[in-house]
Amino acid sequence: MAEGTIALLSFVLTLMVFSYVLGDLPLVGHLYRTAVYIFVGMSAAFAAIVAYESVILPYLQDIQNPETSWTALGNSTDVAIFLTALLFGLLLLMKPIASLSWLTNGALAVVIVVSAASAVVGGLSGTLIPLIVATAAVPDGLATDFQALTNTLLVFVGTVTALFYFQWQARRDDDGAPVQSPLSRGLRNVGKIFIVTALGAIYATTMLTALTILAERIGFVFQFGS
Amino acid sequence: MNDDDFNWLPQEEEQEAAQQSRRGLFRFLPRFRRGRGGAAASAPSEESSLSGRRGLFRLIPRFLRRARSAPTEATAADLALEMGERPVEQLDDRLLALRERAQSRPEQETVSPREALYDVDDVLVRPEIIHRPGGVISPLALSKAQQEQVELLRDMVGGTALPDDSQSEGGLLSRGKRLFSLGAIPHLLVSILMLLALALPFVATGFSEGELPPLAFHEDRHGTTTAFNMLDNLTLDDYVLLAFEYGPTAAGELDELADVILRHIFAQGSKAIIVSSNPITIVHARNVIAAIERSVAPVSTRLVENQDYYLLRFLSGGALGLRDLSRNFGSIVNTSARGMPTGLGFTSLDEMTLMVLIAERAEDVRHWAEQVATETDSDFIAATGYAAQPLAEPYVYAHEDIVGMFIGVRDAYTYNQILQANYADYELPPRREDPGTGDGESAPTPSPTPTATATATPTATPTPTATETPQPQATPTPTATPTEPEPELVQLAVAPAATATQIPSPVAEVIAQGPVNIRRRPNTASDILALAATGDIFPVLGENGDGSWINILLPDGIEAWIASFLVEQYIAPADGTGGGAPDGSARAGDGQTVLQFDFSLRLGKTRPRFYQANPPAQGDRAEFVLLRDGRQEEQRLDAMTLGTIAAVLVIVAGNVFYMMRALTRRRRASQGN
Repeated sequence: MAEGTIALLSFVLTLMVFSYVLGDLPLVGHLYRTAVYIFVGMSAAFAAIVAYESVILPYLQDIQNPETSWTALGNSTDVAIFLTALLFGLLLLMKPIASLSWLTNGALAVVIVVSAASAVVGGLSGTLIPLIVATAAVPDGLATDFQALTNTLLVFVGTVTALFYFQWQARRDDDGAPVQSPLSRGLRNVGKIFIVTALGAIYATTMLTALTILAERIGFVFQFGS
Repeated sequence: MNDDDFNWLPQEEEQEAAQQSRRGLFRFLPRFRRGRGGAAASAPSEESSLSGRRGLFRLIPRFLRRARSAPTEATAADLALEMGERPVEQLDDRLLALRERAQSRPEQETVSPREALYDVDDVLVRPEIIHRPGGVISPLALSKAQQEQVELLRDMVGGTALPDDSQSEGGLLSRGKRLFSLGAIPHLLVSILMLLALALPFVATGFSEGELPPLAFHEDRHGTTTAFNMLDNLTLDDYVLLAFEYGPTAAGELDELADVILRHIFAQGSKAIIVSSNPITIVHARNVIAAIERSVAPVSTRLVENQDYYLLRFLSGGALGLRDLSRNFGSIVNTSARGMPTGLGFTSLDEMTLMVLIAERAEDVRHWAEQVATETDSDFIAATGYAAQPLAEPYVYAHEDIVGMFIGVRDAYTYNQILQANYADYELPPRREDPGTGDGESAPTPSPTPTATATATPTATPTPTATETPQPQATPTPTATPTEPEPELVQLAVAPAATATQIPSPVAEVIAQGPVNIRRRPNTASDILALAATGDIFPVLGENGDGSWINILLPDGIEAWIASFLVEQYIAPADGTGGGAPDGSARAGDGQTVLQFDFSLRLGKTRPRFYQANPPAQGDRAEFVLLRDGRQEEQRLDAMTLGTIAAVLVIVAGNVFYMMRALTRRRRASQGN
């Protein structure tokens, strides 16, 4: 398709999306919805094509001509793994059939358990431990570098108080009402400040991203118009 | 136990099913049917029903078969009911005390959910639930359970009852009425104001509020300069794993970053291996590369898939797919997105010179940090948008392997400015007559003197490295052959003996086993500016307070720091016997002795380039950098600034408006009372 045609289509679709500004009005509202439907539909179609071409097709080609194998079907171990995956895939496909859906449970359990295991291992080694170490790390020159000292203190206080905000332990008074000590309440309030600040920062940066994308689209409209 | 709840088939049907089980797919059907035969279905005895089973069912242990044959409605409560109550006398003291305490408490009245949450009206804003008719597709449909939950929620927050569908407004007429609804006016005004603010910089001049991004990454940015330098240190032999984890929805923000990073990679002749866990992103990456190709088409040869870049098959399974990538890189890298062999023979991620992640969501950064970065020793660079920055940045600080991060279009602007300055001395090859047919036959002739005029470095050079320095002389090799010359690694000329000043001065010689890091500031969290090898000697400018870091001068005039335990300090002789700066000039500052700097140092794999804002080498494809279309960059940045100002104004005005309205209502209410 010619580049000009693509640009024209992009221009029209951009205007259709911008029609959302006018609200859910007759005809106008449908322009936005139509643009979204086109986007979703084409995304789904592309996903299906790419999944077929890049995952399924190589194996089919290898099966037809094992001599030109370049996928994981290089040796018997890989073939066994492939067949196991194929079996699991077929079992997962049984889910829509009511009378055979029970066959899916085993395969689904394996998928869920492996996913959970990977998430736990990755979470520990990739998130929890590095973040704890980074939080507890004392930078060089802490005593002389005021900025480093300030940052370290902020990180430490913010982490501790934010964690403290989510603890709900309290003793009960004579009437059975939960009572927290003034220290606990104070720490929780400080933690609340850090949390609100963090959420505010996330909201602000999200808005900045939205503005960036909007500016790019508006620029495209004017560029096309000129 | 109710026989109706017992789901086994009666004996006759059981036998019939057993007959059928010998044929075809019937054998896979479960042997039981719920409610089949209605109440008349009688339950066979457990053993008799199971004894008729054949095949795999016999392999099930007996206790499991018994458990399976139990009625599905049996619960722990049913069992408890059957057990009967224990006499009070048999309770021990603790249970008796608990019982008495419970009996002594006043009986609580049953309260409605709304009464239980008595203060919810003060906390929650009552939502106005609009029942809109459907458009192109059918309207929102709720199940009965969902409708009950909606009603409960509505009751809790004090909403009004949902009107019947028969009474709901529908059709074009009612929707047309909303066109004139006063409530829509603020929404419309805000939208128009925002669009106007964002559009002004594109249609008129003089709306440049704020400042453009800096021409160099700020030194306080954690690892950003290091990340740029790593990309700048790539060579012809290097492969970069480029993870595209953003789709068309974030293209407006991240395409700029992807564009400059890809151009930087292509300009140095390195290869980009593009991978993603999202199939749509693979398609989008192809579009980004196509746009780069179009921009350089008049002068440059085309990029060739599976030669200049590789699009790998998408990684299915989300985080599991990433784990698969890190463990089975060899098999994944073999298949392209089109299902064809790539010809790449890598076996491990460690063979990648660098990994760059361009991610839309912080979740993607987390997945890559957890599943990939921890599994490889290759250096890792992240690039995200503003929305993902707050949650992605901690990973850059915490992970040793994640060296730095680029954020949004502002960093893309700075990145491009550095590249443009570095490549400013290049002359583009002549424009091709037919850009659409060239596949190397009209390759650009390399600039005859790519670095000979380095003294005319533009003043806007963002990094202090290339300025003022006569660039390393690469012998120009103009060629008349139509084919593109084989790019050669440029060996930076190292003068064997630089001009040495006559003033003895302290120097620091690296005694640790190299390479050792030379940093911008005296702490290990600071950016790495260069690497030094054992025996390298640098002029000493001073040291920090406790003497743990030595302030040294790099050959190109940059002040840097090296840990004191890695070096030995002494006074250099006045006739200095060392080498010199890469340009052969003594530029170590007045009164300093430049002795030696071994430029075989490198951060990455093979290229003997100075690890700081490299001057482009001969063979670099400058057109990929110089022909970038950045016409609207500054207008976009101005639009972002104006849009931010407008958004803040709208938020402030809205809050003031609602505050004033609330005060007015409160005053009216008090007057009414």
